[in-house]
Amino acid sequence: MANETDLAARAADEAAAFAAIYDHYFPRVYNYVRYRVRDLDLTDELTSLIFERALTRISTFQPEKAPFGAWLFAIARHAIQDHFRAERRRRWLSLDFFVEHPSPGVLPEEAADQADTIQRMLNAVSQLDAREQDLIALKFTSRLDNVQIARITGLSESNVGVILYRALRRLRTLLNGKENSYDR
Amino acid sequence: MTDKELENRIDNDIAALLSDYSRLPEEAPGEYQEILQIAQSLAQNDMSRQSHERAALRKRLLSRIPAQTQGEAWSPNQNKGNQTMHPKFRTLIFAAISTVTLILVLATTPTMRTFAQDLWQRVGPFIIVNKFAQTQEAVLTGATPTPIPGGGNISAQMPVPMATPLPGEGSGQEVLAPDASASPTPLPWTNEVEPIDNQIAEEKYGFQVLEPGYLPDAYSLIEHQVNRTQDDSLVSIYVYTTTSTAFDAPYLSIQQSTFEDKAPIEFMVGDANVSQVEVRGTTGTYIEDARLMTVRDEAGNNITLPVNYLMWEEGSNFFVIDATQLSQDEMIHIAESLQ
Repeated sequence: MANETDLAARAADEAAAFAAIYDHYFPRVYNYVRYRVRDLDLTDELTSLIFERALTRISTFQPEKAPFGAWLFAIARHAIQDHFRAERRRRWLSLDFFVEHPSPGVLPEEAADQADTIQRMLNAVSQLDAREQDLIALKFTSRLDNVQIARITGLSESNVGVILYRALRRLRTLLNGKENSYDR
Repeated sequence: MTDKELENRIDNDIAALLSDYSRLPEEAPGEYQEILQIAQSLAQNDMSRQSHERAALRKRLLSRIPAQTQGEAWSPNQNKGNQTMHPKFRTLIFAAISTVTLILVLATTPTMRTFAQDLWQRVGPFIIVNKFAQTQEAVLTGATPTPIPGGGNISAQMPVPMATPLPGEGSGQEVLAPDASASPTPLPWTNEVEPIDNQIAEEKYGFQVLEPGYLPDAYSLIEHQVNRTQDDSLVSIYVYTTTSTAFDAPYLSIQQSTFEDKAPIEFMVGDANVSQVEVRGTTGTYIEDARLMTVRDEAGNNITLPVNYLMWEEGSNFFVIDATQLSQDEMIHIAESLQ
């Protein structure tokens, strides 16, 4: 997005600037969350939380440290991590989790109106481990390069590349219905 | 090629894919190609149209930004790098510089000329973009496209006229027939609809449906629907055709919808001509020869037909007239006759 840094600098005080950022990044952030959590209502809830946080903190964005996209997706990633941590705590305390969250791959409310390709992809992504899911979602929604992803995740750049490649190979196996130990 | 070599290579190939979804390398082992196709699919999947919160969240967030600084008043925080200039002047100067720069680069640089085709204009809920949707590009180049449900320029709940059915998809995407659900125009916000009639639309929702007083010779009404969508938008659509039974029989639709406070929808019209026209006392947008309608001919081949669009805003309503065989003058004539 052109003038991203300038827009970000003005976004705390100028609705039009924030609106431009929101319109540009909403699909990417939503898709990132969707790849991670699967549940539609929860995706909306977390996406809202991410943009709420972004608006609250946007005056702290420092363009000299990272591009705006990297800053925003760092917030997104933290929000997802917070959610999973809270969910784990809740799961230890209550069996409600099993009622509230259908098992991966069974989303009857989506089955009717989602395309098969997306549904199959979401099912396959959900079978990757958490780190692979995180990197796949970041790579293909944020459009950040491996250097920026490495900074956000704390991995090395080469590690990001290797994990991504192996995760894609595993997705291929999962999508072809031939999951086996070789691809793990 | 070893795994290590492929690991090293894939980042470049993915970077190329992310900048241009159609760029799959030709020279690569079969498994590697499949992996890149998965990457392509991951990058193209747009699920954000499933969001029920997008418009409401936008409104909520924007309402929290102080009104007095929405481009009207100067605040010290607004321009940290340039505190001596009013933001209005900065915007004007920036716009002027951008325009001059754009003209210069258009005149001199072929690459930038291509980029300039991506400049957009906003009309109603649409951002008109002179670039191809993935499905459209694939059809035009003869490739089998990956369907992008809810993506590109087509509403998630509409049949996707541009997508060629893939083997194993059952009936696949609909080939256009002259009915209301097959309009090549992305109808805004049709996530779930409640059919209503003109009277309810007007009495209950204050939505006055306009009908055309003029139609070209031989055109007759096929279908009229008024729907209320899940997010309270109201949409009216009239569809007309002639008695022709040819696969490319004339198609005409007139859509009217409410559009305030909605997130914009990118409407990719490829290399169509986009111009501004006077219609019903306002400035509208005319799009000529947008290759957005695919029908199947008698032999079963997909044929892409050019569609012309006339769009304009009128009060809180947004109108779109689209037709396959009508001129700009005829479409404006129909628009002027709406009452």
